[in-house]
Amino acid sequence: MDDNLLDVVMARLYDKPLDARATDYLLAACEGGESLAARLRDQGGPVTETAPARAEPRPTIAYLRSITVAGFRGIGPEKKLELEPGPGLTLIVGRNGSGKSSFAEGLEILLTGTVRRWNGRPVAWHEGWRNLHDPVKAKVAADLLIEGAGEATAERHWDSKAKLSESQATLQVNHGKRTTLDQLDWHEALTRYRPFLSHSELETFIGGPSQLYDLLASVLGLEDLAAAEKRLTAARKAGEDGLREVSKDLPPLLEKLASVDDGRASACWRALSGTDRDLQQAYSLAAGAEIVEADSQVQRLRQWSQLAAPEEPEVAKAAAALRAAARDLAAPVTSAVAVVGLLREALAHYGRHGAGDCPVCGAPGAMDDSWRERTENQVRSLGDEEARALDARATGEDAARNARALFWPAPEFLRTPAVGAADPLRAWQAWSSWTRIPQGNEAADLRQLADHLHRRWQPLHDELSALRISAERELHARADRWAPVAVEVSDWCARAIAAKAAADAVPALSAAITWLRSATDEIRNDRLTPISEQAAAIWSRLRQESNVDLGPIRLSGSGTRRQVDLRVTVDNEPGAALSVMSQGELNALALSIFLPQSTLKESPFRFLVIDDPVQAMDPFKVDGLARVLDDVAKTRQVLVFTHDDRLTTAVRQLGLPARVLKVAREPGSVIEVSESLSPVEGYLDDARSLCRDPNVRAAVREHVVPGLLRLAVEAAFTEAARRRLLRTMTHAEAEDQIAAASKLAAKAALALAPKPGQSVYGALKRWDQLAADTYDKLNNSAHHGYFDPDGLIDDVTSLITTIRQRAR
Amino acid sequence: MTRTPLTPPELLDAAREMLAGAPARGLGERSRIAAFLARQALERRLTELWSSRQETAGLGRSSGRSQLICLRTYLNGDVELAQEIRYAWVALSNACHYHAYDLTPTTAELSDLINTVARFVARPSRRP
Repeated sequence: MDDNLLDVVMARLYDKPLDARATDYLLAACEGGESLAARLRDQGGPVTETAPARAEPRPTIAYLRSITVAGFRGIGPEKKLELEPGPGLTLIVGRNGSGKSSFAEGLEILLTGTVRRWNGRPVAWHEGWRNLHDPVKAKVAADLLIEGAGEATAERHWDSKAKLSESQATLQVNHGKRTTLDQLDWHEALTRYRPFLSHSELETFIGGPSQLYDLLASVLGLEDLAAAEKRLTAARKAGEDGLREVSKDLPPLLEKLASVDDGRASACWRALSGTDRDLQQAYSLAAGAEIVEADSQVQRLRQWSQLAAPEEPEVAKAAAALRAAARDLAAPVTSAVAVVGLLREALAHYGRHGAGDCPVCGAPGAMDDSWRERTENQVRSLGDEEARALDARATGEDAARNARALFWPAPEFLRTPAVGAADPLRAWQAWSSWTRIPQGNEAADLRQLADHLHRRWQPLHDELSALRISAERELHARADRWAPVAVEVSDWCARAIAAKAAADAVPALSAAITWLRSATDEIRNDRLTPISEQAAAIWSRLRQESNVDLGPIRLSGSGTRRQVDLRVTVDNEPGAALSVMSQGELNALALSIFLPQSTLKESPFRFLVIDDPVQAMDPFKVDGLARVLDDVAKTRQVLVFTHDDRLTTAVRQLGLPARVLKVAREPGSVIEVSESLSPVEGYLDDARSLCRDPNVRAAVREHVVPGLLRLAVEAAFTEAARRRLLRTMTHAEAEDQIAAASKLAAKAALALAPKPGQSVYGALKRWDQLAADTYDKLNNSAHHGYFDPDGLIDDVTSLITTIRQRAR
Repeated sequence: MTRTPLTPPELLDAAREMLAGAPARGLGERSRIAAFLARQALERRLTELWSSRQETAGLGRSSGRSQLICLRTYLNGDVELAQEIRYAWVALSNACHYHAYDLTPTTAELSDLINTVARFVARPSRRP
């Protein structure tokens, strides 16, 4: 959206706030379709920064210096129509068939690539575009005077066999490299400020309410708002329709889910059926996220598939350790340990009670000093044996502990029903047998444990492997059935989630649409006001019946109901515009709207081309038209092509400063163009006419004729000044300088740009002594003795010729 | 009975009366008569203007075009009024004549033209 428009929208948002979410959507829609889509996807995020609007290149501003046509329509050999660049009215007059319209259409096709009034005509019309007398070369060209760039030539030509649509268009600025015509960047402006109006277009101009609407709407440059509205409306429609569309696809999906024998499918089915759908859960199920509660079967299969018996080497190592420990736990060692304990106790008893009888066998005096000595030696010798025995016991206990670590209880998930071909029962049994381990740490126990390891490991390993393989198989089979359905489910869920978000956005979108519509209406009518006022002013000068008044023009409605409200009052009673108007009035109305539209200050075209505006026009109105055109021509280069001389007559009678070019066609489509009137010529004409009138006394002539001649020379200098200034400065600056030069001498200086120290007289004298003298005479209006008006007119005519030829 | 020619203001009053008059006559005829009266006021005022200077005395006998050309000079540079008068004169002349194809100007337009002439009539001949 262009910056200006965005500023207007922002300012209005400030005045008429909209809730945050709707504002968010509105601004995103103004930014573009992608922004809006992003905003709709991402609800809660911060408002995106408005992307800086693209810098719109300013289209080229230009006047026309000439139009050249060859081998096109009524024009055979190449003919150039020389024009005076700058504001002013030029009438190009010629009978029907003189080729004048070929210049108008040539310019139009040069710039737009087509001629609008040919659209919808029979094919023959399109095919007969080449001139019969010069069918080989076809070309249209225009010399332009481009603001800030100087001179340029736009050209479009056709190869000898090419169709109308098969042309090449080029642009050459200041005799530089040829580029394409697009360089002018006039594409958009050509629709918006269309500088062409032909008679037949006058009719289609008001052909239908929507046509006129589109034309005016395009001038106002509100397409961006319309586009934003379209985006919002589309988003709202998607929001409204989305859930319905998505819901349509659910029943078949549920059916499919029901047919898949898979816990995930049934979990999805449960999540998606019924009124209280859990989209998120179905989505994560389908996406393969954790599903523990959702499907114990798959979970069990996964658990089964991960089971393994202890590693065989580990088991073998444990069994070997057990057997080795059992061997070391020998019986004598064991009794030796017991005897040592008993003898230590006896020695302790002897230490406490002294010599005496044996407390065990009762032998009298058995425990004496010699017994003690003997026994202490025996205990010392048996101690080593005892240590060895304790060592063997500890080793046996370690081996048993290590071996028992290989047993853990059978997991509960083996005590569950089979899933498909995977049955955990035998694995469970094997595992149960495996864990029924012998207790005790004696040598026999250890041997038994080693035997248990040896016997029970193999069946456990075999059963677990079998279960693992069957569980894996079952899992793969299920994945093959489930995967495609899962994709469908996740697709559908994603759509449903988006649709739900879109549906949630509908109220905010509606608010944004309502706001934007009313804003568009108001902005549009604000922008239309200046056009509407100008149209009313022009209409008041062109209207044919005083009882029809043109009020404000309003655009209303949108889409197929868009229309232009032309508020017309008939004898101060409101009436419907088009129905009460005559053909001539409709033409006048169309002109009233066309002129303000094509002369908006935003338009890059400093020229406008009107083809045959006076047809069907009441002759009395031609005077009004001439004055309207004269008005427009104060700021625009107005080219009017006309087939009769009513406009010329009006221009002459009213003494308007216009140029009149006569176009005539000779045999062989040879075109002749001659100037029959110009602002310069007009003053000279007046002067000559005054001299010829015998009833005008010499004194009056002496007073009036020099003034008229001064005006004629001023006009010639103005033309020359404009040609010179427009090359180097903006059109507005050039016009300012020209307007500021009110006196003849100032205008002459602008036109001739004398070098420092040189006078205008001096500059002229370099070219022509007589011209310099004539200029001098005009500038010093004091009388110089005998006054010869006819002679002065001749001298001035030659001065003007010099200016026109030399000051280029 | 001698008739004094009507002065320009009297002619303009007559033109206005004619326009606003009873519809006994057709509108076309009344418009033409009103246009004629207004043009006469304009031309008579021109003659007065020419008579006010020795230099231009008798210019009233010259062609309408000559007079309109000179008007620019003798209105002391009031180019705009000169242009308006030129338009009014052309328009009134057209309106005086009955053309088979032509339409008479509307009442409102004639009023505008009469007002233009009235501005000219009210303007002093020479600047004080």
